[in-house]
Amino acid sequence: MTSIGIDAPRVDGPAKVTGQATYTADIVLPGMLHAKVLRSTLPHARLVRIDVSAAERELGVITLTRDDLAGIDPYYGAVLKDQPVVAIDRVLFAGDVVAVVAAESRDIAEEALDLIEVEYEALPSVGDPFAAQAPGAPILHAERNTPEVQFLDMKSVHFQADSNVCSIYHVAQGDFEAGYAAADHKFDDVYTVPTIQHGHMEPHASTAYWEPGGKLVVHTATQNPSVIRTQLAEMFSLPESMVRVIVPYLGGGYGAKTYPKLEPIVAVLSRKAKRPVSLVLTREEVFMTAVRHAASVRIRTGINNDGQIVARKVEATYDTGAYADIGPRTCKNGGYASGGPYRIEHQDLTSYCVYTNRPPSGAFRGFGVPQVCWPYESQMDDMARRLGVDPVALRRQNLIHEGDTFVTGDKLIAIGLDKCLEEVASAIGWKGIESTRPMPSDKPGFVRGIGIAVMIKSTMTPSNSAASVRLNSDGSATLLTSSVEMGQGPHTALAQIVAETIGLPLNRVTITFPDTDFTPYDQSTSSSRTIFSMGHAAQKAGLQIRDQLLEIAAKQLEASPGDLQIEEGIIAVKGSPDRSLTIPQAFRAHFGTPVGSLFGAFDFQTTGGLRPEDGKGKASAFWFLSAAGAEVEVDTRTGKIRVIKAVTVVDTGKTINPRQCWLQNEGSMLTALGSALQEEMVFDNGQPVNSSFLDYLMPSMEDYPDEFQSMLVETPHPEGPFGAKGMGEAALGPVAPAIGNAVSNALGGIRLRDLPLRPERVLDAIDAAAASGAAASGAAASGAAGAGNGGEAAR
Amino acid sequence: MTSLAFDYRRADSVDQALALLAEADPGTKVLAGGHSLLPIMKTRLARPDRLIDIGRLNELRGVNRLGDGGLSIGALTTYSELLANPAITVYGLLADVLPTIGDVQVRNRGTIGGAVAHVDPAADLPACLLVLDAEVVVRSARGGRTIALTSFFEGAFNSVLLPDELITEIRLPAASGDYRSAYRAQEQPASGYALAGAAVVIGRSTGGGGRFDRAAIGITGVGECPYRASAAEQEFLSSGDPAAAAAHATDGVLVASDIHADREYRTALIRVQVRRALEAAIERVG
Repeated sequence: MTSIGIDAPRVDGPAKVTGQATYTADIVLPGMLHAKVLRSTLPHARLVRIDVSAAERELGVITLTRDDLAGIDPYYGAVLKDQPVVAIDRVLFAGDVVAVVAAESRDIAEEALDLIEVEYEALPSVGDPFAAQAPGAPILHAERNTPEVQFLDMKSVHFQADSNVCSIYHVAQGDFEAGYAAADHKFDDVYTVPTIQHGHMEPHASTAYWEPGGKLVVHTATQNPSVIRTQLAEMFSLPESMVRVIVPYLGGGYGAKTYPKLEPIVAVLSRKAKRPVSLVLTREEVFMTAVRHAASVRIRTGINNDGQIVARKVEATYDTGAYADIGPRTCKNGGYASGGPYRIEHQDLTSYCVYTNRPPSGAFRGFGVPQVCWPYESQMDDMARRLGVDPVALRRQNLIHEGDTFVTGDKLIAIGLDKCLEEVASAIGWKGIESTRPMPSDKPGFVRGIGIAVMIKSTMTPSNSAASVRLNSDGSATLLTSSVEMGQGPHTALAQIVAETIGLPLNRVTITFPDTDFTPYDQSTSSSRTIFSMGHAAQKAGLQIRDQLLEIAAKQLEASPGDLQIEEGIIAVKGSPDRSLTIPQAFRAHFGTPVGSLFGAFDFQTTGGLRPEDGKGKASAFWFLSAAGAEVEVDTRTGKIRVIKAVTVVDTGKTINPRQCWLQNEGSMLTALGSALQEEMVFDNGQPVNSSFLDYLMPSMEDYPDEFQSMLVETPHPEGPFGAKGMGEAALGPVAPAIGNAVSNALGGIRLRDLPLRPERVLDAIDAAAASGAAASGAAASGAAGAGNGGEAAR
Repeated sequence: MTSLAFDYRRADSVDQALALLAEADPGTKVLAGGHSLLPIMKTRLARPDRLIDIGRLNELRGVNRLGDGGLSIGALTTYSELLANPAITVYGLLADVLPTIGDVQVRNRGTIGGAVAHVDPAADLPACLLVLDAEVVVRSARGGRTIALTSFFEGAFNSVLLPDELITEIRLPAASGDYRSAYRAQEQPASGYALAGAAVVIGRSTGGGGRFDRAAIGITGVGECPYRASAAEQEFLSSGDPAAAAAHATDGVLVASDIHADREYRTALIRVQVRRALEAAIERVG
């Protein structure tokens, strides 16, 4: 292979580093207006009165309020259509869209916002999923649209009525109660993770206009143009062919740009304005537009003296915010992954997706799994400490393997998790049980420790990706694809796949940007599915072209197609390089003159889905597997943690482009590092108080560990192109628990269960442990696992 | 968000600036480097109706040695210019701290006068100037006065500076004798401002029997403005024990509490920083 497994340079690199790459906000259309959003100041209120007349009169702006929704379905949503374009009767979170203004400039639009009069009647609000389920809590969505099961996997999710519980997913095997009762040791803990931000550089941005013929055209920073097309077509009762969605480069997505965000707003407003309307959010607004689910996870585990985990029950409660977005799927996928990558006979796993008066939570790199990996991998180390065994050995003993049946009923294939675990243990310098003890630091008051963790995650299943490849008579090829280039590198990696498949030089393959008028359907650029699904479709489409070329050349070279090869654009008889054709020569042979083109097209649908009655079936077309290791230094006087070294190992199936995979992993690791140590959106009476990068603590270069390494192992998947699986999210999940385990080992077994591990919390835990007599430093204290909110339940 | 509209005047001389300030109302702000003022105008925390830009007054720029060996630093002297000036190397504290403030862009814009005038409760430099016994020279159309920095700060973003007064220079007395200093801070990771920062200068007179007879401890990020921890200074002078001194770091101070550090944690944190700064200063040679 010449184009696979090589560090092909990014095709988008030069445009990006020279500042010439075009993003949605760069698009300027003739007559374009600039929009600004008036947002709710209250977390929950009835919208009594809204008056835009002064703004319209004094500044000549065009406004969008609930009075402008006639003739359309004003609600949208990927799973449940519960989110209106603008508030209709109530606002459901501080930051909810109340009105939108379009003006000749952003300054005028912003000025106009001050002239809009809004009268609210404040309503009681619910700030977390438990308050939302308390008796007497206000029900946020009393009238719920019947979910349209557009996504087959959503059949297994149980939507609730007359409750703030949006949906529940449950799956079980064996008999948890019996297994837990009989276990030698029982652990029962609650872990939490807060609401966090994606932190994509490019804010959400969309521009829409209507063509005279009635076609809606939207330029937008979205990860799933096909879904946007469907949702807008339904909103305006248009055929999908009358909605055109065009996506340029995205400046990062991380899930925040999946499913409708600004597109309905600009579509409705441009319809009224009869001019193009552009909306680009400020950073403060991005904080209100998409967040990662906060979660509270109760995890009960029974383990025997011999180290066999026998029973596990997980109840994971996710805060999905004011609107469902893709929350029900996020929580489902987190739900069945919450038992971890272990063989456990008795399992009972439930996830709750709960509405609150908070910004809507949606997809976020890791998709529901980091919230549950943090509990199960933290508890794993506590169990090892209690049993007095090496936590790596304990994982080795319980790990899933090739051919096992997962709790969902999936028969597991291409499972290289054991390799991930061994490589990470080696890279972090794991030396068995002695590595669970504090390591000295040369600075007084500081201690060090190392820790490891593993993870399993699914991908969106079933799902569709279609690709079309066109070979031109000069031997250049174009892949028509709706996969979005958001920095993760599909333009480079898909070109590698097409070049390798047909036998072309890499620089002869060009990848299109998504344009739903021309590029075929793709479900989503998310779930780390592009290389597996779009790569598969592109490979099949490329093979069709290759077959056509071989057919043509076979006649011309008087050989059988099976005796031919195509390399670097030359079709030759194997072993007889003088009997060859260039691609222009093949076109000349076929068409009589070097014109025309050859086509290949393929729609790849992964199979699967889960049954409504038991949540089982086939959850995932392939599984993400990864391991992380961390070495930390803890300042025991301030509680400040510094990650000195972080390593991850990810099973790629087959690495298409090693350098891009490493970089993807490093991105995942930095995101995880931020969520582990410092990131948290804070609300005061429902108001976000740190919606700026001056107060919200994204990791920066200063937080980069001294040693930072990602490694790849390959367990080929039969359906992946050249064996490749997805890998973009894999490194994220295990990093936080690896850091937590390293901290615990540094502190002699003190366990922190709430993220982030802010210095204040660490110091409190050290003080609490010292007060209760548990060892805070020095010799390992195997009985100290209970320092925290539950720990070993000796019942 | 963007700033609200405001009136802008550029002064071409100190006298012109003073004349503009003489007719100033409370909505007037002086613009120097702008790296503190402009961000809070953008978020509308500050809403001045007029800015007087003194950024081009080169007469307020530069470092001069005074007759008594002290330094006169022009108010518009940037952090970068200070760092590049050999005269400040005798003040080890400034040489240590200046390179850690902000980033290169901030150090190229931020001015010493601006840092003093702004009175950010968590800025690094004011705490350092406090322990160096700095004086603030101010002028107005009415005349001039010199104010000890220890009586200059009044509260968060508030000082004794009157609306018509302009800071023209900062004076530092000569650093002499056995001078040892250190700065220790834990930063708020996003902004880089100190959650709790301690600047210390300690010294021994010749023939003082080896005891430290000079101790200055300046604290930032903790109170409503940077302050001298006099009780901690007294404790250090009497016991020489960094930990004992640190226990008094917040005596008489209402310790700040916010999402980044609550009162209890911030109190614990500043004690650690004071102790570590004192320990580092003691260890330091020269």
